[in-house]
Amino acid sequence: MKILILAGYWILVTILGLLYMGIARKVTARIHNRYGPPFYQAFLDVLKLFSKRETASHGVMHSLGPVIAFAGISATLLFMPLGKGAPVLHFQGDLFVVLYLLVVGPLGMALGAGESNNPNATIGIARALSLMLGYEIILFMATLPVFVHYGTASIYDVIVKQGAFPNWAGLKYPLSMLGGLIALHGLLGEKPFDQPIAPHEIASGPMVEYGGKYLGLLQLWHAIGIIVETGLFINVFFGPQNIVWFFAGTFIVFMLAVIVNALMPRFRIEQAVRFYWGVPLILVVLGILQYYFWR
Amino acid sequence: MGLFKISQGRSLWMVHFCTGCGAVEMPPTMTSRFDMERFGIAPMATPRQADVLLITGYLTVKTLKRVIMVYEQMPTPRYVIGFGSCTVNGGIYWDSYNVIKNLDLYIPVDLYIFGCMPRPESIIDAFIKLRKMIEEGKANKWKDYIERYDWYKQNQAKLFDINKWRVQK
Amino acid sequence: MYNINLALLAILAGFLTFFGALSHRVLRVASIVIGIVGTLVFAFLYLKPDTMEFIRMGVFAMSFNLTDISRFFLWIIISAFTLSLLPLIHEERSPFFYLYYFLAFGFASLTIMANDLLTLYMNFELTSLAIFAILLLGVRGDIKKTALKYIIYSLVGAYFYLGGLFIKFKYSGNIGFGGIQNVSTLTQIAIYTLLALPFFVKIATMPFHNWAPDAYYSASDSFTIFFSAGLSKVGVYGLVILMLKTFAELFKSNLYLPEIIAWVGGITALLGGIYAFMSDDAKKLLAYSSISQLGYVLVGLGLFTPYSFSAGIFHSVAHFVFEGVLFTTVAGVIHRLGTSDLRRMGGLIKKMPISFIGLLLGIIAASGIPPTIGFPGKWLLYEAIIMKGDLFLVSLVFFASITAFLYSYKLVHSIFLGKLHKEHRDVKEAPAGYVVATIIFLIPIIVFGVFPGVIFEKIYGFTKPVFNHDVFFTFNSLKTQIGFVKIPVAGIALAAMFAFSFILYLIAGRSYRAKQEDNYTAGEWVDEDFASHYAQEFYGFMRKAFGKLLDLSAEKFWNGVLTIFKAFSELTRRIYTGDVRDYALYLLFFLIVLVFLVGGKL
Repeated sequence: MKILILAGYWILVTILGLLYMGIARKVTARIHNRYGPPFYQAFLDVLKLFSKRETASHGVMHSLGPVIAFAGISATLLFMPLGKGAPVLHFQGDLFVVLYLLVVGPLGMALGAGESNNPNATIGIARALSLMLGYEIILFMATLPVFVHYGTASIYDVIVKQGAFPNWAGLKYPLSMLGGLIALHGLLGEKPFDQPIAPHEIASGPMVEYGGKYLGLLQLWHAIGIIVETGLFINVFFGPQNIVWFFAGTFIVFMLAVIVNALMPRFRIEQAVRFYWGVPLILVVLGILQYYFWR
Repeated sequence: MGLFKISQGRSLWMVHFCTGCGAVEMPPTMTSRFDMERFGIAPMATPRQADVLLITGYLTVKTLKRVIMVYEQMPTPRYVIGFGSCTVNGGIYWDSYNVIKNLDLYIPVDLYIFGCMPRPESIIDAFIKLRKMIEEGKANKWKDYIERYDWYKQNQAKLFDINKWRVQK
Repeated sequence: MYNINLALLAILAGFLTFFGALSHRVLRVASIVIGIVGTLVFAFLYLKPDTMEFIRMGVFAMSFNLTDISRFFLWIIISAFTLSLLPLIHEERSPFFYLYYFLAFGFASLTIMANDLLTLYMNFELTSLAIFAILLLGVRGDIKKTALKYIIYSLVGAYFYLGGLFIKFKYSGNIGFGGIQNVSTLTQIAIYTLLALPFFVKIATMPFHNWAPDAYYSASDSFTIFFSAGLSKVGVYGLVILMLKTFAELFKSNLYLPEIIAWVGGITALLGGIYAFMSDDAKKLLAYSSISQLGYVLVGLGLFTPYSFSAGIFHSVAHFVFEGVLFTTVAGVIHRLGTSDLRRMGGLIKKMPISFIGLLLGIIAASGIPPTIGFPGKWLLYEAIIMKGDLFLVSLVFFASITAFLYSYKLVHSIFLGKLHKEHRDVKEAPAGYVVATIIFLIPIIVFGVFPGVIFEKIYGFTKPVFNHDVFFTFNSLKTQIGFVKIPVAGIALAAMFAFSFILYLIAGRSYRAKQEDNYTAGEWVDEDFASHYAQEFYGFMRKAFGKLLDLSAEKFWNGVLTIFKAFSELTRRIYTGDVRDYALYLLFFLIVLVFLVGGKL
């Protein structure tokens, strides 16, 4: 029974993630003053990719890369509560389990892309890992005051203890919330932080030798990744009290990221990392100091 | 499998490979005024990720070698669109020693667009025709390349060294 | 004379191997095998815990006792030693090398069994001496300079220790492990710093770490396995003994000392990680990785809360396992390729698959991903620091753990992934010794990662008397006041999702195996000489990001200190000129002064 519920959440999140991706393309198009593809475009893309007859692969590790990436993000999803009413395996693991499982996906992808024997892929991965030096620390420091304030390291407990609208942690710690929002933008890989993919510079980076079903698995990875990453932010700062509010919150945050993505160019990789050590670092440090001195 | 055919037709990804001067009509088609993305068509960086190869404009022997490499790297099912009058019969370069006049001998072409250059409306019209062909199951020229592989290679061999310019399998 | 016999047996085995190596290769291999088997048999059958033993030398005696802390660390050293001997079968070294190897193990085990500070000192010094001898028999780099650097850093630490020992004797009247009463906090901190300094040098805390990258680089490859995985634990043991037995009250009551030591550990972890991913040589990268991981151990030990201390000791066990497997696989690769330069390797996954799996699990553990052995220690450390309320320290440690992803990927990509070079087409899998050692190391990575309670129980045994805390673990889960994790669930979730993902992959279309040259090169034809392996300046763009931070150098600082000392010494040259006429003049002045002072009584 439990397994059926988990499988249900998994399928729901995948479908909604693909829907978000389609709506994102529509929103981007409207900002560009054009019509854009239909909102269900991402489903068509994934179906087309899985219907490819014969694709090239560079070996076992290369083929397993997207498989491990998808497995990693799915496993992370199982530990991420979808708002208060929809606990998954939350009670068996807390924030650090989620943070470390979030790395399994990119690591598997990195191993597979490295085996592509194409320097573009490795450059993309090197950039992705270096960008982590920027946004991961900001994200962690942004969520710290909230967790210590409620005295727990479990994401579900933070949601429960926050309660409804006026008591949101994002309003209590606004500077941390802003810093976390900027870090989330890097985590999602939207411009100006999409150096790892960078289609014009490094021929789409790690995905350069992936076609057909591999690319399909990577699209599914991206879909679930959107929900998990924005979900982490929403759960910590805006404690959604039921699953509907959860998806509404992730949708709004993701659309904010998409709007910024449509308007901005891309930083150079060292500019991006140094940017994170500038203003966002100051914001989250002020947030932590706010926890110490003015609760 | 009808669903797969519909999804293949409504989500065509093209290789962003500008082979000739006809490629100057691609940016207007991609951008806001004529917007081909609303039909699900998007440019992709590498042939591994793409379904459609556009031969935009005249094709010289030098470019044909690279086109063969790119075409063979694409995953099946794959489609080729000949873009512009030069692909139909050589166009304004009909008397050049270097330009390919009959594209069908070297790679299987599903669709030709005439014009020098074709306007974005023609290009979008061609893509919609291609979509209809895919949904009806008529866009099968890629199977022809696999079945008559030796015949195509024989034709290519008259122009260049086919042992070098091919995807080694 | 029970437990000491282990060390004596090791010394005997050393001489045996020496004579064996002098004569014939088969005898050398046979004596190594006898050494391994003898050590293990003795360790399993004859070690007697909680027995006091003495080596008497006239009036004075060295005392030994195998307490529970000693047993814990002794088992780590024995395992590291025997596993590092397996690859040694394939390496050809001078006979003295084997002798000093066994001597190093023997003296290290005596150090761990020591029961008072002077015995600890003497055996620690003998271990350093044996290591110095082994470093002089190194295989690459500037051997003399490296060995000299190592011994000077060790000796300076040891002399500070001796000073601390004398002061402690003055205040407490004994040289045992007991505490000191009735002294001011400042004096206690001073004595602690003096006594702990050689152990800080041993675990390569910054700024005393400069000997480590060069020493790991030039030492023989199988010795580096023992050096990093085993001998650094002697340093950890020294710190644990000092903190638990001698200075426990100081750490519990003082507010500043735990913070300072934890921050030093955190900075070591961060800078070690940064220098690791900037390295271009496999062994130097692993050396900096070892320094960084031991930084986490120092954070755990230094913070001195029950959870952080247990986390620190657990992470040192984890460090033994994953650094062991990393050094073993890299040693195998270097053995086959003849080079340790990361820029010249590539694509070896096709030729050395078992080494790849070993390295992969090693770096997954070093990154701290569940359910490997690297995760519980890190998880508990984060929880402990948050419970203490040090939010900036936990951010520093988290930042350091991200650098682990960077250097892990650099290592695995440059060696195993990517393009196989032409000259390595005929490389075979690493020899049997390396492979067997790798496989044996892989077992605890998974087993103790999923069931960390086994190790935490032993740690609880010797930390409870000091901290008096409750049990926070079960066989496979950890619970603190703020969080809970049940590790097998993470493992099962990953495995199940991998299975589903794989099914999805299988039911989709076919794929064919593309050759290396069949690649996106913008349609251009390439042959196998085409440079498509990205290994030069892998993270080179980060130099611009870090800027001036990379100019910080402890080595420059110590060279500056050295220059100041040299200048002072030059000043004394003005008096002690070395010229006999000056000394004759001094003598004359002295006699004149004496006449004036004594007066007419001469």
